[in-house]
Amino acid sequence: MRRTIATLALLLALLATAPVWAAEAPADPELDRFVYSAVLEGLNELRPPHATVDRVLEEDSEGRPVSFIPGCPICMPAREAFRAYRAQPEPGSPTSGALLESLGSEKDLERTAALGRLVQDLVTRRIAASGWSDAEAEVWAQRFQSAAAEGQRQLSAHQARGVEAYEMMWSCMICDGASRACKRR
Amino acid sequence: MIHFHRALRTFGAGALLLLLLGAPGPAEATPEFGRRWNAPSCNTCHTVAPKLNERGMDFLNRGYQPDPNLNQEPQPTLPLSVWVTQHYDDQIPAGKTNNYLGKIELISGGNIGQSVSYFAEWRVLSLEAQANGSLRDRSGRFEDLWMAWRPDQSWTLQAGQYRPLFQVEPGRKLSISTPLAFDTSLEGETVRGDARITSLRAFSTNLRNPSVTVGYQSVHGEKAMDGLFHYVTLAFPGEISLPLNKAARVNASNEFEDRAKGVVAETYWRDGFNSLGAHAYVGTSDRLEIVGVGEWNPAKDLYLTGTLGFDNRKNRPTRVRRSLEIEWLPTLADDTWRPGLGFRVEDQSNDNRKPAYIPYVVLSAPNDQGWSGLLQLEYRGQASNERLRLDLSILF
Repeated sequence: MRRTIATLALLLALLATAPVWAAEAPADPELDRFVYSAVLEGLNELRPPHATVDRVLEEDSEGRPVSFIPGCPICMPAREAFRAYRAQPEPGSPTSGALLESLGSEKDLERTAALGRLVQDLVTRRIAASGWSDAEAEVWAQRFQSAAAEGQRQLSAHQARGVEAYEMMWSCMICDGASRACKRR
Repeated sequence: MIHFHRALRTFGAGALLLLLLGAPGPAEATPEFGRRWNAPSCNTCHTVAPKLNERGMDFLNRGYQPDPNLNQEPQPTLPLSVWVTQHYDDQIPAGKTNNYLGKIELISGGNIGQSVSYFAEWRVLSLEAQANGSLRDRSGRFEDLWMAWRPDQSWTLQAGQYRPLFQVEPGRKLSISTPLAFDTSLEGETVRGDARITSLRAFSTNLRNPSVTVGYQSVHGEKAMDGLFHYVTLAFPGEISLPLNKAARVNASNEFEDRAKGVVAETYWRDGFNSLGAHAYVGTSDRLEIVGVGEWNPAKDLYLTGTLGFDNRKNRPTRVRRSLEIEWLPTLADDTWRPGLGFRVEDQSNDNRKPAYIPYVVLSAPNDQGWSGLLQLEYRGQASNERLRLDLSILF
């Protein structure tokens, strides 16, 4: 009995200390891989400086990413791609430009909006290179739509908890960017 | 007790209706702003509609446009929303009870280009219970009807019909009654035989007047609604109206007097939900009113508002007004339901009344991309002025 109570107490303690946004297995692994590859390939071509990527990957005091919505099926693989890019050596001649400047902005909304535009561009390129038929594109558009709806649910849940970084967002801008890329195919 | 049971039945019917609305289903209609800017739900801009959250305040202060960083693209839509309200009103000491459809309002607002915004609220049905239990019909009157021009981020020029108050907007309150600090009338010069003009010459900050306002923001914060703001409004006696029946042609005739009833100067500082400010009215007939207003958001979902003010009128004693309001509006992870609890205590000197204690409950659902139901239940505990009110609204 004591052992059971101790085990339960330990489990409860673990649950209480675990971040509420702890990563889960993606609901749509294929979409997860698609977004991850699209963003990583794009970053390797774009070659943003590590300082900019560090800003994008910043976390708040509770270890929550400030530029990505935890639990969002589109944000999470995009974030993993940024982390994978950051794990590589810094490119010798990093690029610059307005988009990269916004990506490195201190303002949460400006930075996240720039991420949304970047993801839109990269997903658009990936779709163009995929050679999908109209029927396949339709299926993928629905998958992105469903993932974006989940992203919106996650955003609402985090806003309800009062997370400051997401306070001014109307919707998940990375999801919006990916969804727009599908619609504009 | 009979009154309470009656109110409870109406409340039960309203709650059942909200439950049905809250059940998942396709959105059939959406209010204008939600449709135009593709806002995911009412909660994009409201804590509990009509009270604004920070996103809503930011949107409002940009002249009904979202932060450009949000990449929101305007969608073509019918520029119209409709607000319908059923009122239950029990004036307990007098034993007067009314249960009636009191409001059908057509609302249109938005931006014209980057620097002009407008707002119009036309009440095609406007009934309100009087102290004697009868209903006053003012169908066809306009509430807000204004245009604002913002040539840059600092200056605003506004004209039309509206309340001369910018720090807080009584129209976005969650209680049914308007706080006393904004709703006490300062009577103007009497016109013999013309009660209508006499009433329009009165002043209260809750009263909409034909007006012109110059606004200036001297300090800017990171968000559009943050900073230090100053407004000067010139208010005229009158009411813009298109009366729709015989009673309304008497109670809500279209009127305008070109002699201003006074000037309202307001200044306030805002940082999110926290604000501190004061407004002063200097008017004809030696009228003066000064009111200070403070809003404080000490913890998530908790909102406090305090007011303190006084007025001076010719040959009348000075009245001092004070109120304190606390609201708890829990934000739930599921956007469907938005409940709220509020309590306000208010008092005024020299009015032969005891302080009023006003608890209220609100519930909105389903907040589905902008169409929603709203239930407001309010009890007014005040010696010889006890009142129980319930409003059930649909906004689409």
